[in-house]
Amino acid sequence: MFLWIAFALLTAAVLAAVLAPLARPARRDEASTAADGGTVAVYRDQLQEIQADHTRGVLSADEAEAARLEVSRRLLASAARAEDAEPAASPPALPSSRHATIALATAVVVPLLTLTLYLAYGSPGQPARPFAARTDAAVEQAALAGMIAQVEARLRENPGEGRGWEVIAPVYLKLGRFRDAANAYANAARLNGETVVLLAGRAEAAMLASDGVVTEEARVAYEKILKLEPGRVEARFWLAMAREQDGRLADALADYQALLAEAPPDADYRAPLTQRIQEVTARIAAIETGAPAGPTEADMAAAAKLTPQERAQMIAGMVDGLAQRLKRNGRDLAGWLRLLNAYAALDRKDEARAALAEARRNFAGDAGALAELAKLANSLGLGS
Amino acid sequence: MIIELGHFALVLALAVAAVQMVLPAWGAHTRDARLMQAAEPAALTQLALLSLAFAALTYAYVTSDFSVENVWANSHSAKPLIYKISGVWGNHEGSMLLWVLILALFGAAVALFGGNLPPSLRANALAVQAAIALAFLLFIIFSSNPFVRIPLQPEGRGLNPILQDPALAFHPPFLYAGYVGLSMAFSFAIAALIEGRTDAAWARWVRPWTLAAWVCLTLGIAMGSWWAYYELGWGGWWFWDPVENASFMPWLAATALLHSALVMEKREALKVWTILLAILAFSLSLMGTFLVRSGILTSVHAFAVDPARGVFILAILVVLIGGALVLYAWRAPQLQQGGLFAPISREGALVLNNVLLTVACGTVFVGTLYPLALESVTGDKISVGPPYFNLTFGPLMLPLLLAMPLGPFLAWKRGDLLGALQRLLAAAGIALLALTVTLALTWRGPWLAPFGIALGVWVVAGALSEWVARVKLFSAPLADSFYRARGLPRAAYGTMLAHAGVGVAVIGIVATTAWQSEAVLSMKPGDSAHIAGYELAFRGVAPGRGPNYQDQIGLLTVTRAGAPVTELSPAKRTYDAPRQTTSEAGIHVAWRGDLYAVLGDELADGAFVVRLYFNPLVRLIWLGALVMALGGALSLSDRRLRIGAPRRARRRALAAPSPAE
Repeated sequence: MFLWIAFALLTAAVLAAVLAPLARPARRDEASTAADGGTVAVYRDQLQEIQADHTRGVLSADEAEAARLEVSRRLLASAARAEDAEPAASPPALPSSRHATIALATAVVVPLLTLTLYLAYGSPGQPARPFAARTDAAVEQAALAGMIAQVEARLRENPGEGRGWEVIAPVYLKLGRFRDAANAYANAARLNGETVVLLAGRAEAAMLASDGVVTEEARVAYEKILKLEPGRVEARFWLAMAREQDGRLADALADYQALLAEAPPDADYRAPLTQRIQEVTARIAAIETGAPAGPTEADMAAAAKLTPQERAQMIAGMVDGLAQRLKRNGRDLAGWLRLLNAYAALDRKDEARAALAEARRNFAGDAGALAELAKLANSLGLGS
Repeated sequence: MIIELGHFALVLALAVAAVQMVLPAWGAHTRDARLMQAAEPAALTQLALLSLAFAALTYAYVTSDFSVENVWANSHSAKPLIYKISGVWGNHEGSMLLWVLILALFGAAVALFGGNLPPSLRANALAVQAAIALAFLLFIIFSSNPFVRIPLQPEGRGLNPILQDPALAFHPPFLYAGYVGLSMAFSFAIAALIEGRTDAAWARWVRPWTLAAWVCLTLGIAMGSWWAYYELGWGGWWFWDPVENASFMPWLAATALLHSALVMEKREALKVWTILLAILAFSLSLMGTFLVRSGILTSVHAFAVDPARGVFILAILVVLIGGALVLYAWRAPQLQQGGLFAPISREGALVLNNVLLTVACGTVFVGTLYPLALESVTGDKISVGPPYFNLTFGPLMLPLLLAMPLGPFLAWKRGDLLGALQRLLAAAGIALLALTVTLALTWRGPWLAPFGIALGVWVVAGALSEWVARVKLFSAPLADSFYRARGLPRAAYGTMLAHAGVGVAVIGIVATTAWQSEAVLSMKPGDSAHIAGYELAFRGVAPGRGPNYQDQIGLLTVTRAGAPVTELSPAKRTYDAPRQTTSEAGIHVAWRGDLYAVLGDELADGAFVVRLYFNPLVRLIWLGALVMALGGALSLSDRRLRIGAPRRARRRALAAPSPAE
């Protein structure tokens, strides 16, 4: 209610200020004297300046006289123009009734327009929520936020407190702050010792942070898990996935098949395993028949069914797999060209440039390959 | 409540802008004084309302109210207070609000201090100003509303770490004051076209506004360049980046406008051209806003990319610029032409200045927009880099700088070139001396650079000789010269300083470009490196902790010929939210140049990548810009004291058109 009163008062004050000139008689003095007063003042000023320049010796007597003449001519012309314009300048102003109508129309339109727009975009019912007022009094709504803030503040002071990192890591993961989660898990493991739970959390967060790619960080974590608890299915599955993403398809297939063979008949991970086995088999077959080692038809069909986000993840996974493979074996020109194209299509310019530089290093001395790289780089706009 | 009040004030300002656009223009058309006078309170009210809105948003930032989407997306409760405040315009929505606030400030200044303008000119100018405000307020409310509320969020996302720098507090407000100040020249030009009448008074009125805008723009650009220099860690000060060009083009146009308005004021010549320049200067600054805000360019300035916004700004651009140019094409032929002059004269020199500046502006325009146009038409991506600009812009500056000291020595109407050259003999001698000395010192090359230095010295010495000649420093008794120096109008000092500032900047630019040394090394603790006569010993890397970031600080002990000079501590700074890394360059400032160190990544063997630069005389670039701005400010202070007769008392109050608070 108070808010609406404030709105009304503000609007009224604005209208009163804006419409005041319509209600009172025009300031005659200004309307008439100032009409050309400015112009005349400027010329008079110029005359003075000429005089000053003359006294200072910048202008000779002849020059000063000529300049004075010219300015005087303009001064006269301007005065004449002002006189001509005089009758036009003060015609009978609009009748007062017209002014009243205009004022009334303005007084209706302004609040109407303001209210319409404000109601469309404003949130009059929503109270302000300053941060300070929230952290001490708002257990109701922002309990989680408060807790995070408190733990974060404590960790800033004592970054060596492993317990804090352990508490906050899963919260980050749940909130979708994957990078923070991975870091928190890493800190917890460093300070409290590496446990299966902490390592698995770190690996999961790291994978989610990089759109599903089993990164080096995740791979190392899973390998450590296998040392602590050999045979853990989750770790074995993701390591197989890592191999698949690296392009080591035969190894990946063998791992998947082994996992499937050991799986209890009612295990819920049989379905994803079967799917991976099908896909990897298809890719191996495609390579053997000499088809371009790109995505298989099955991949494409699968990709078509995915949500855009999943598709982006799948593409990123394939591209990163290719990049990793080329890092180990850099003598594959076709692979480099494909990688550059992929980076350009994904608009990952910096990586494209880095890849280009690395490819050039690998093929230093091979003029044919370098020419091909340069051609592609040019057409992709990567500079030379 | 405060936030919603701010939102309401913003919307109300839009309604007031509509009133201010319609009533005064209508009044000017029907010669109704009351309707025309409605412009003044409307302009003042707009300023009050937008100040209220801006204060409300600032309040939301300071109290970290994460129920406001804009605050949540761009702030964080643990951010230091200064970045909570400057963060208000460190994002798209807030910066647009600042834009219209400054626009309203200029409008209110005209309403307050425009007492001796012809009423219809003032009414029309304020109506045009309101039209611009209306367009941008619509844009803000419909597509970039900073007051949109969201369900309460636990914590904000934080400000882009590159922007967490004291420079954010100054660079955007000054730049915006420059951009928006040019709107005043634009509004006056449109009003003059509507009235079909321009004269010396018009030019005199436009000049101070343009000058104020120019000073702010100069400072804003220089600060942006300086910021990029120390924050981005590339060791360079100007990259011909489209965003930089977007601010440089209005600056070139405004510089041309200042000079052509001078001709118009003194001689009533170049009227049509001056009006066109006024339109173009503001059009270029609108285009700069469009380029930077639409997401066409990716850079630190293109906060959130949203195509709808780009289309909206493009529409504003088409309506305002297109409308202005159509009006110009229709009305400009009816304007009276003024005084005649010989090619060799002050006017002639100013025309040369205008031709060169506009052509230079044109080359920058082509270099900035051609790649964008090409990409949108054919899909090819090309990048136009420094080589293009150095080859086109550089040669255009050469005659400009050569002729610059001559201009002030030429008389109006008909000048004496030989006489002017004679009076510049001393300056030419000093420049030759500088050439010889630099050649002797740097005989290893590059051989063109000493000529560049000599050119800069020529400009500085030429600017000073004008003053020497006017106060008769060596030809009259000292007391007499002192008396003359005191009597010289401040505008004369302004010209001298502004021209000398250009020369100073030129010297800095040439020296830095020609003699920069650079080294990229991998250093282990204990290693040392040599650059430009300095020896740097790398002592290792230590961790550090700031309010909302963690530092990895490298320590470099710098010695020169065995004597200790300083310690450099370049750092890699990782912010808590958003988790991003910036590099903090370690810079040692000395007269002969800056020693600049950047700490890079840690390599596998424990070594760190360290990049070292030595930028000779680089400070002169910004010093030159500062001197230019100072010259402009001096000239501005003069103008207000001696401008008009009938309202001399009120004129004095014009002390505050400077919007740069």
